[in-house]
Amino acid sequence: MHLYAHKLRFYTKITREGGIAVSENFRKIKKKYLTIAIVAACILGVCSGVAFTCTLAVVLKIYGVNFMWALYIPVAAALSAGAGALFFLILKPNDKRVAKKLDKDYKLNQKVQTMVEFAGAEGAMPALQREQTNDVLGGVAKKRADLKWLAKFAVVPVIALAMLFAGIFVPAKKSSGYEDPPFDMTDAQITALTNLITDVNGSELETELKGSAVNVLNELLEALKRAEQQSVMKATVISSVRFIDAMIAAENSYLNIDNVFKSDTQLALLSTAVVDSVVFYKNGPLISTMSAVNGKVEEADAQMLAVLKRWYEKFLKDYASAGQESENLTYLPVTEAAAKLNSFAYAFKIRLDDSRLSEYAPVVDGEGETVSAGDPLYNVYTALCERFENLAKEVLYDVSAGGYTDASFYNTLKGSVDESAAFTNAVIPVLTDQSYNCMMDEFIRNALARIFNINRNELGSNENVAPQPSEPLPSNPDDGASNGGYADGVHKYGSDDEILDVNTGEKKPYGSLINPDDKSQGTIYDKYYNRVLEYINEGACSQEVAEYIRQYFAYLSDGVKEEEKNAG
Amino acid sequence: MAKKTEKDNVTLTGETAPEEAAESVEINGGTTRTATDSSTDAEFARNTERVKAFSKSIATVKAELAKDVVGQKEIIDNVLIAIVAGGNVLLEGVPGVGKTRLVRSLGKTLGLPFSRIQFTPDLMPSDVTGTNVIEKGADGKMNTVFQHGPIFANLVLADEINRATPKTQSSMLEVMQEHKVTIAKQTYTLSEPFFVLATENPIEQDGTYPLPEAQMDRFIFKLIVEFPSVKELADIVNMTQITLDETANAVIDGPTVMEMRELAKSVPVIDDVLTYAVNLVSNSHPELEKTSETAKKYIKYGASPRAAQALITAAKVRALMNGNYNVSYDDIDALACPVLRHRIKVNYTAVNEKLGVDEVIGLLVQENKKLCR
Repeated sequence: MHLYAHKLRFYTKITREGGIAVSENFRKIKKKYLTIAIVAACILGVCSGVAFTCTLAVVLKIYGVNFMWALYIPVAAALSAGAGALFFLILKPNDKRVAKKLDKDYKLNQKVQTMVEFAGAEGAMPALQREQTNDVLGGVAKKRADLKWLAKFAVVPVIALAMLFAGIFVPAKKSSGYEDPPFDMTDAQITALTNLITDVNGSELETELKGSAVNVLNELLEALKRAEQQSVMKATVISSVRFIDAMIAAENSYLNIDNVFKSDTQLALLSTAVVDSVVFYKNGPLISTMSAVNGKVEEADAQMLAVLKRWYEKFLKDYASAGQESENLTYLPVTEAAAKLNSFAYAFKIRLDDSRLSEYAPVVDGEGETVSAGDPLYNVYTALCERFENLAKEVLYDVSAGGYTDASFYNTLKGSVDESAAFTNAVIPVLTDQSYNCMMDEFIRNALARIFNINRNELGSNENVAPQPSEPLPSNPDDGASNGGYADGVHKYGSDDEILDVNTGEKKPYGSLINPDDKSQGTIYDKYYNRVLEYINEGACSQEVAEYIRQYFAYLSDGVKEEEKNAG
Repeated sequence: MAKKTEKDNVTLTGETAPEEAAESVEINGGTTRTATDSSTDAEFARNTERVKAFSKSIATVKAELAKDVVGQKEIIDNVLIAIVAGGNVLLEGVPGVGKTRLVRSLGKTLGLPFSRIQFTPDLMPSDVTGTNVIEKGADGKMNTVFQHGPIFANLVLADEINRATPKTQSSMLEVMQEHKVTIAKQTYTLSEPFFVLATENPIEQDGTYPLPEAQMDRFIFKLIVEFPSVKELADIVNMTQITLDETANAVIDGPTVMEMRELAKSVPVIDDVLTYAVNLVSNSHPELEKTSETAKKYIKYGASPRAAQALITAAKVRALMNGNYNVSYDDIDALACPVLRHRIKVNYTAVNEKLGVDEVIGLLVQENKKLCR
């Protein structure tokens, strides 16, 4: 009660004459300062919010972080509210602060501060002091409030304005990961793609397959003429490549048949030899021109024959082994050999009859007419199996009659699989066709990657083609001049010299360092080629220079033809 | 007993409130108060009138003094402050500047008995305080009677106090401190208000006994009386051609001065101003860890705590004299030199840089403003 009595005394007339409260002038002034504080806090809060938000925007731009512009609004609003509240706490007037300011600004000699501090004091002196102060404040209350004290906060709107400009005009960092530059198909690309279509059209692909591939490439051409972004172009090209991969995979049967046979230990070698024959071309440079395709096809017979020969030598070894001198063979006893061959033929038959291979079998109608010829490779396999089967039966039938000796049995068996025998003569053309399909697929992939500057890795691996021959192929029987690299008789590299492998510090033949399929070495080609493509995409050089660089890498991968090299 | 004069007389004391019959009084919108409250109201009203009359009284005294003392306005103001504050003043000035006339006129204006003591080296303490003498009474017996010394007045001018021996000085200063005289185990109280205005001659320093610092501290102010200006000198000459006597009249009395003293005590001082004054005194000490740069550089000894008391007491009086009802920073600043100049001793650095004690106090005040305001 005593305290409240003091406060009541403060706010009531002290001179005992009744009437208006003494401190009304002080309250008016304080209210004025409170209004100023609220307005200033709002303005400074908004400015602070803008400053913080724009600073955030500038930082995000510099680091290339994408941030939806619409989200800046709630961020700015929240920061403004927080900053405004903080400023209000700083600027909020209390009695002491207002009194001190009034005394200072109006040179009142601590009258107001005394009035506030002795608000509850009783006695004539404090009462007169309050009255005197209130009279003085009457004049002050009518004046406009001094706003000079707000000048020190002027830096806040200045910073806000500066950061606003910075936030708007500072450019965002270009990030290659998110950039989608425009795409405009050049005349050179149109010409190159058209040439590719022509090459495919003139190829030896099976008619229906060829037609489908040409259609896909024509659609690709039309689609790319309309494409406006790099991302769209890339996606369209990759999609076309995958489509062609799938078409080729559907046409070829060697991998599917291989999957059935390779799980059997007796038949795995035969299956592997077939696969290695198809992908023999992978031991050479990238197939990126039609001439490379045609060149490989020309050597297909010899390469495949070499592979098959390797196989049947291993196969026959189970029935006879060389003595100390190679011409002396030790034959497996005929009864045992016949039993072994019977077992092999039986396994062969079982695999051929595997339900997964039934789709490759010829289809005959009820009248014995062939409706579907079946898969050629499957047919060759079937013929070989029948030969083994018949021979086994014949030997088993005649062995008691002594019709076969060890050597005669071995020679009969050898004749079934000899390189000039029916099997090799039948299977090589089939394998050549399928190999050709694979080579054309690779040619189309490499050509599209080169024309549109797409990293080959982005096209994805072609799972429908065996990755690599399981064993190094025998040297090209026709290439007597091959040394220092994978020269194919048509293409030779810059020189046959050895060069330094920077990874190992050893000297190696030139070609081995750039073979893209050699996982230990070929990554050098990919690494540098891919990086160059990135730079070209980022516009690091002119189109003319880019073309030179592309041609250089094409020479690295394809080699330099003998006539080009001689031409200098 | 204070005399009342009819002309220009303002009475602040004397009337006790008559007892009032119980009655209801409406004040402040209907509050009913009883008769006992009305006596409080009357007292309040009287006090209010007294406070309001304070500055008028001082103005009247000044006007009277101006009849006899030309110029020296600041000296007069500070002397009046010292009287109301209950302190004593040390005046320093060359001969003939009106020190004695000032005290005489002051005595007349205040209606207070005045005495002058001229200190010489052969002056004895008993010459100041008085002594017991043996007198023959009417009955023929020899009685011991105390003869009052010149100290037994309300206003005392101790002229050239530094010429007296330390023994005589100490007897004077004891009276100044305690307002009592003890002789032969008998204590005689001096009447209030008691005020001593001591003087020092700055010229004749030979054969003088400078007051020690501890005793200088007893003076609330040390005032420097400057040589009058040409105009003032002309006025003095003209005035003294007419008469050399003081013509001022008594306008207030001793009890009034005591009332004013009590009123001045109630002037409010806010914490900031109190801290400001205390810091000013504290920052004059170079030996303190937290002190001013000025003290570290120029001051040998700082002011005692009495300086802080003197500052506040005097500031209250000054505020009231100027018609303000609160003490301000300006009051403290204005009284810094009078209060501190005889309490601070400057060092050789100040002497070398030709800085007097007033200049050093000025630096202290500036530094204190920056630190505390």
